[in-house]
Amino acid sequence: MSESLYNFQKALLDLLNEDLEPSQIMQRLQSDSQFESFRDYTKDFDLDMIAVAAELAKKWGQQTDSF
Amino acid sequence: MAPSLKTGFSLMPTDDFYSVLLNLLDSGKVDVVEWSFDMSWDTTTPDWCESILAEFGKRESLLGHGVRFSPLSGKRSARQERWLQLLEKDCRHHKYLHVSEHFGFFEAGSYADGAPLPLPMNDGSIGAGRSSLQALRDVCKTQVGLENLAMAFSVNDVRQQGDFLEALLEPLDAFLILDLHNLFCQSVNFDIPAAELMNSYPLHRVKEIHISGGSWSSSNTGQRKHVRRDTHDGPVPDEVFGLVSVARAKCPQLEFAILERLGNTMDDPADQSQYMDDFHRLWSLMNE
Repeated sequence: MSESLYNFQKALLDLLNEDLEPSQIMQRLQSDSQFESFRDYTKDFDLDMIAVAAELAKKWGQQTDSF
Repeated sequence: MAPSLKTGFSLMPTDDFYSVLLNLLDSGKVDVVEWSFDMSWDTTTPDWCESILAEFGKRESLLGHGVRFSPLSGKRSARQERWLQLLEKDCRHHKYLHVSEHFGFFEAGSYADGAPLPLPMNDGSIGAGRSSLQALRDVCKTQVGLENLAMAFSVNDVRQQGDFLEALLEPLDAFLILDLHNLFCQSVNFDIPAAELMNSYPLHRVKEIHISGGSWSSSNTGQRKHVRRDTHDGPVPDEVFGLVSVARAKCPQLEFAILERLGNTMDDPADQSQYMDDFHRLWSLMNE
């Protein structure tokens, strides 16, 4: 298990669920310190694919307080 | 010796499937059935559906395919532990020949039950994925595998997924489900020839292929004409059928071909007819 990966995933899901344009999401990925360790990974993200990911996260994702 | 090839469908417990499957099962061409077991854990499965699961389980021709585990999450949650307990119970009830899940993650923090997303390949993600596969095998006590993902954040995700999957599957000698529509999505969205992309996957591990239809959405950026989506709600494209023969030639351990479609997407008789045509076309390609 990986704490840093988990924190990245959590921050990414939070970000995708915000009401932001893909370019704003990309800007946050590049500037927010939560994503610093994964900057090499996020720097090449494609804006169309960010749009798809944000749509998927909002459509299918569920928030729960049960775990 | 290469395994014999079997064709089947992903079973959905919905009325539109009930209408279609009566005809398909009578055709004598359905060798195998795949069941997304965790979609029915919080509902009641119709009797007709349980009958099909029991019959194909008895024939050792039932495949289990999870959608709600999130095997690449960085930490395992209490919900995922419960998921494993429910799977263990399910495996005592249904006789799965093997059990698979999807590459990717959708659970972290307070988010769960989403569509899988890609992630970076590093020691942490490889360790998390291997641990999940091991846990899956511990509760199923049968062969386990992962399916390739359609979604990619960048061309690097696309180029690296084959190596990533090999790193996850190798320690358990687990198998790969090569979803040809997912491959088609990546090929179209990142302008890489599908056959070239297929070669980047560990094809010696492919035991099963999936085919399905999908849809197009518009591009926000104008970087591409449109974006191909793996929505499982339309006819199988010719290009995906074309990849079946390529996969047969390149995957020596290929055994199963499964047609996927979401439930409640075939209320129109024309859609049901198209689905049956797609199944017969897949069967023909697997029996050439």
